[in-house]
Amino acid sequence: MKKRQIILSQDEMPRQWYNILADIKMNPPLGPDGKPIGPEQLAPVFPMNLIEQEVSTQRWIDIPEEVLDVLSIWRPAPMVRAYNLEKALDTPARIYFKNESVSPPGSHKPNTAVPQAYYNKIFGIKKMTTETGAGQWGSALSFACSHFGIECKVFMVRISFDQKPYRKTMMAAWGGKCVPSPSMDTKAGKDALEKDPNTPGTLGIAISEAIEAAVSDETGQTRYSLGSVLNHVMLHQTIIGLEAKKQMKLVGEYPDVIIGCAGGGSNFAGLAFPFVLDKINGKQIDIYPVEPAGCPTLTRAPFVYDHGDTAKYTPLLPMHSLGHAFVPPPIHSGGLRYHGMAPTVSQLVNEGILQARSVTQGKAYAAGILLARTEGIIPAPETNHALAAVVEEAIKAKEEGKEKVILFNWSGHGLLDLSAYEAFLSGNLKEDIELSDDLLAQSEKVYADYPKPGRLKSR
Amino acid sequence: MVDPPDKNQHPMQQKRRCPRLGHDIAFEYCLMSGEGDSICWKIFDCWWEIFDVETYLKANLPEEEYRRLAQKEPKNKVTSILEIMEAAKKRTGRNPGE
Repeated sequence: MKKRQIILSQDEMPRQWYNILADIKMNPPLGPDGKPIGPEQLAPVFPMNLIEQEVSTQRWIDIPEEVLDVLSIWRPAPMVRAYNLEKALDTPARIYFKNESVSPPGSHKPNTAVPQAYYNKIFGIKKMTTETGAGQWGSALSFACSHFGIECKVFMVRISFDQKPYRKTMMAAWGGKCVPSPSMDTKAGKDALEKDPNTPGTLGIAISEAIEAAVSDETGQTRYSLGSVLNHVMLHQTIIGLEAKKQMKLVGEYPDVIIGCAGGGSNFAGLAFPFVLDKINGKQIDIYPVEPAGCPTLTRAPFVYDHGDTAKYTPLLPMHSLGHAFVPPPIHSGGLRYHGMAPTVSQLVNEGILQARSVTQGKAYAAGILLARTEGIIPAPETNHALAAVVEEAIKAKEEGKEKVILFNWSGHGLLDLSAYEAFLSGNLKEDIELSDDLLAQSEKVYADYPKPGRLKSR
Repeated sequence: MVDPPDKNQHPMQQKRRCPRLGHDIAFEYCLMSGEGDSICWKIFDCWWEIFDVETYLKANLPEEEYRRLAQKEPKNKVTSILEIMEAAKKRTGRNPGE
């Protein structure tokens, strides 16, 4: 039997997080008045101990023992050698992934939910509020709050609440209270419902409700929580990459390529930042945050208006008006599309330390199916973007005949996202899937040498 | 607000996965899910793979509105949180810390 999993013992869990703000220069965020935001301005929404982490430039920050205790429920997370994927792709690359799908909520999110709940607790906070879309973050925070005796209230966008009833149940199982947003619990929610009682809700309204619930608590014992983008969130996630470094060392490897999907940036940063430190210090590593391919033709700045197209009504054109063979250009280092991303990730892209890349949703799902059939785990849809880039890199290594070591982050499982797979498998995501057809056929060969199970009868 | 695509005229009136919400939504939703019922700032990046969303919006939005949308960038998250906090304080008459 091959050694597939690289496991650290509990004693080998990292005891400190890595803070990238020690090694890069960032402009301070500006407030509505155009002046740099001071820590005290954030005090109504976050506890001061987390605000201190948000602005800290100390390179290593101790992980409290109480946080490690909870993280040890599923951490250290395994690193896995993706032998079956390598075989399916017939690549000389050695491919490893950090499996963050093993956490109780099924994603990397509790890596920050747990410390956030802890710091709120020791600051004297009794209740935390947040918003959630599909429910991944709301689940993670509910899980974390349950371990520190904190009440958790999650405003879930109504359209998501209706589509994902199991998420509400997950949150309730951990003691979290999930309400559809807009709700009648806040003025923001009431205003939205008054305007349109049947509104499906938006993330904007949900955030407004969560923040209002925090700042309007007259006892001062409620705070808001965010699961991505902010510096302290990236900090907490670095436990992924710090574990990965130890695991790589155990098998005598070091990655040539690091890949993670990047929405708000936290799972990517979690894996990549500890390696960015090495890159800053001279290591040769290609580090790729991967996001959905953006609209390639849209000119945003400078804006050029096309006066040749001012008809009052233009029928929608068939898909792929750009052509099947069109390859979206890579995102430039200026990063127009990176404005929704963690500022630290954007900064590293701007400095050329990270090379952002993008994949189409068809390629992402095709890669997800390939990985499900080779490595077994059904990936979260956002993870699929990283997987597509992994496939591209593995094929490139084959073409170049290079034995590269590729490391990526499997940020979560997709067991509560099966409708998206249903759409793909039933052909409703009409994408350029030429690549996937070959790879899917190839993936079936992985099991050609496996013993065939006998037919069992229970009776 | 523009009218959503006519089901009978466009085969891709169907849904796609919203990267912000994490599940399938209809195009119609993207037309009202931005700040203050406006169009979501990610609409071009999400829909270009499905149909020619630029042409559609250019044809159906007033010129100025299209221009604003095409140039739109979300605010820095911390800045946005502060603005939402200020709005919440005004709505509720509460001023934490005072």
